[in-house]
Amino acid sequence: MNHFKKYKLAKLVLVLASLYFYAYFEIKYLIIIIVSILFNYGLNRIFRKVNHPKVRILFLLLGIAFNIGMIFYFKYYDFVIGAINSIASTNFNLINVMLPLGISFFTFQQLAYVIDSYKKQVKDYTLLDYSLFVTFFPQLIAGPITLYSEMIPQFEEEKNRRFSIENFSKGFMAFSFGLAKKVIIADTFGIAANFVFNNPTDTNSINLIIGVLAYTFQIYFDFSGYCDMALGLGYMFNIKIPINFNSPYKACSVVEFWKRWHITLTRFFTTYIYIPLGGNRKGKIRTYINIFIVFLASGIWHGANYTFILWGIMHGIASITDRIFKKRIEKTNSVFNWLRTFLFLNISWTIFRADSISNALRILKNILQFNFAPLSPEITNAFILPEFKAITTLLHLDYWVESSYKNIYLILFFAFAFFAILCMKNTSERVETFKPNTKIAIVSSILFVWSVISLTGVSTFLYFNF
Amino acid sequence: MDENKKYIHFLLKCFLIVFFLLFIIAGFVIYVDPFYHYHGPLKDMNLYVEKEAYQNLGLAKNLEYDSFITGSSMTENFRTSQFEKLYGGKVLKFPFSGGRIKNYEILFDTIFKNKNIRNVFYGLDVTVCIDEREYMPNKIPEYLYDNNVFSDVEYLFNKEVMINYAMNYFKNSLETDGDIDWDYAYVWYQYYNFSEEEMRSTYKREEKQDNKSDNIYATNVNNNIEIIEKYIQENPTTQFHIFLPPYSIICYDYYNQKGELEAMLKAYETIIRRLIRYPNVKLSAFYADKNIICNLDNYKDYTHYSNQINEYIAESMKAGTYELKSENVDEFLEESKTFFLNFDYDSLF
Repeated sequence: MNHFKKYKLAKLVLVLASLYFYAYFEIKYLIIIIVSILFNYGLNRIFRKVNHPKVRILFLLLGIAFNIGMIFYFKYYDFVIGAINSIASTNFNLINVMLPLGISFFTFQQLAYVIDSYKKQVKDYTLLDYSLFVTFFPQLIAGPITLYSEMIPQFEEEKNRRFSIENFSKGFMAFSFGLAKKVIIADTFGIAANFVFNNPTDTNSINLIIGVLAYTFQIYFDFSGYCDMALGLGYMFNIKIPINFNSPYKACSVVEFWKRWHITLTRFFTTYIYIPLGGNRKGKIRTYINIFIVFLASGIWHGANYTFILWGIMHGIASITDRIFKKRIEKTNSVFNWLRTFLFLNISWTIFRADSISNALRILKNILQFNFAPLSPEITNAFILPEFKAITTLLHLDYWVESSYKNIYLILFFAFAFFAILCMKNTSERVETFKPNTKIAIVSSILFVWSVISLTGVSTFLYFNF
Repeated sequence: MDENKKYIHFLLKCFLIVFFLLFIIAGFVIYVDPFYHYHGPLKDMNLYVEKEAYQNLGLAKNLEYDSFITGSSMTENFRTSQFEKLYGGKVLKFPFSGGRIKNYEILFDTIFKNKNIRNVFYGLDVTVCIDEREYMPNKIPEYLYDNNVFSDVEYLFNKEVMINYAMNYFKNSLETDGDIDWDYAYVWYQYYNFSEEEMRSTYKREEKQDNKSDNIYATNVNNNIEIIEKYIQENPTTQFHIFLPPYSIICYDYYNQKGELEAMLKAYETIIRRLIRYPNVKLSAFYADKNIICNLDNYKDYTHYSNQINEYIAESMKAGTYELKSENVDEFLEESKTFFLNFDYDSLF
């Protein structure tokens, strides 16, 4: 459509396609996202016309209350009411609503837009452009949290309206890598992690260590896989979605980790919480308090459970101590620093993933009992993918592998994961250094097909009653 | 070569590789068709029957038969050869472990649309009739059940289907010959011990609850029976041999402890009274036979009986010894109700 210079129509089609994609998950929530877009855009129109400072601040507060209120209602209402009920022995009803997909992402993007509109920093965009910014389907569900100022100008730019074979090639590669990260790597680690976190009373330290490590890998490959897919789809439309993961597990301190992990979230919190609170301009103590507040907010943002809050607190404290001992850390061996950071991340992910703090503590305590028993078959088998089995059978190695080396697939998976997080280029780097050669064509295509055929399985029925 | 051309070549290579691989994979799955979605077993390939929810529908569509057995795991240990001896014709078995009315509804729909059926042997579980009409604990692979060609991608591009089923069946067919013996399709009795000790070890008695109204299941039972009645009415030339399986007396203790025993017996009564009205239904009730249900050595848990009981059920259905008709139904219901309500369940423990 851009070819025929029907730019508006092209954008409208993209918005409608994105909304269709959103409604595909749950049609009821279509109305939520539409109301949210119209409300926030309306505020922007008001800020453009009204100059009275008191009225402006009133509308700003209204905007913040609306967006935060929406997240609160869907995400935290039941949690808070449950907490009140248990503390005060009251009996308020829970609403049990399902969380609208991506609400934490699209509300934050819009919150940034409202605050900047108040500050008169937002250019005059049309409702169509704004809707496209919020709903743009590659980033709608799982981020990154983009800013209007980096997205809308790209929709407008003349040269982005022409199909670019170069960007499409890059996009296909990024998408294939992301899909493989999610479907083949993260989901496999996920089976092992689920087994451990669903059986928190397990006392076998080996199981627990593998499960905790598996979750550390699962969450990274899952989330960064999604972001790579978003990046890839964005490229196919000539839109550059900002980098969200820059090899975070290479980090040698928690401060560095947050410069590499979920970068757009850190950016949002820095711009809209840390800096307004004064950032690092008001002395050391205030800086530390501000850091702590940011991480507490981040913990709350991640979900309605005490585990997330504790996770945020842990990261807050670690970020502060990293700053306090900055000089000493810089002098320490970097391998030691990496190990220290990676260990901390594993512990904090355990808190993050567990159903409750007591389960997380139970898991960590049981690891320290050093009760080393053979690995559970459920964990071993999680890594024996059908294709690996087929290959060993083809090589006539199945008897040998199954009898003595059945954990070889697990070891290979973990070895690959460590290699990938420490030595491999991340997808953004790959896109930048992309060369359209045959090797990359073969790797991307095979990863794409391999992931597609891994999406659906054949379920085993566990239920055996009647 | 200018830059643009390099990218065109790159994308062409990608698309060629992707389409080539997808084509090979889909072609192979369609050729072997391990879940018999498109065609019956190939002439030179053996028949493999192991995944009920995935294969039953395809088998029901693509094989030749005039009678079939269906029901839950209560019917999985039936030998089709015994039914063929008793009733003649070709009998196949399409059970659903953990099956609910919805499973049978889909199966009946497919079969009656495509086939002329003489006999249906159906194990009807009261425990299934009391559930919600749409409830299915075992998820079915919808892509095999809907008529949407596009959803078939989940079957064609599915590495587990391709490797664990299509490739395995293909390989095994090259190495062995001889089809699956239907007598052994889906049977499980060989894996278990049937004894009082074994069955008691699987049962944990709950606290006694207050008795509930005997009407609590009425809506669900009516909704479920309506579905079965629909197929009975629409197929007057098909004989429906329906039987009510004999769960152990411990099963009634379970409902008694829950305070739902009267509701359960009421559900039985509704099912029986409604189904015996049809001339093409032969309803056999085994659930109140004290010789079977009170002998706990027949069971592996509080519901699942041994294959000998399956054999006995098949014979007795043919002989008609457990058949309920309008002449004997009142007496039967009265007697069984008295038995279950007056039984001293505490004496079992």
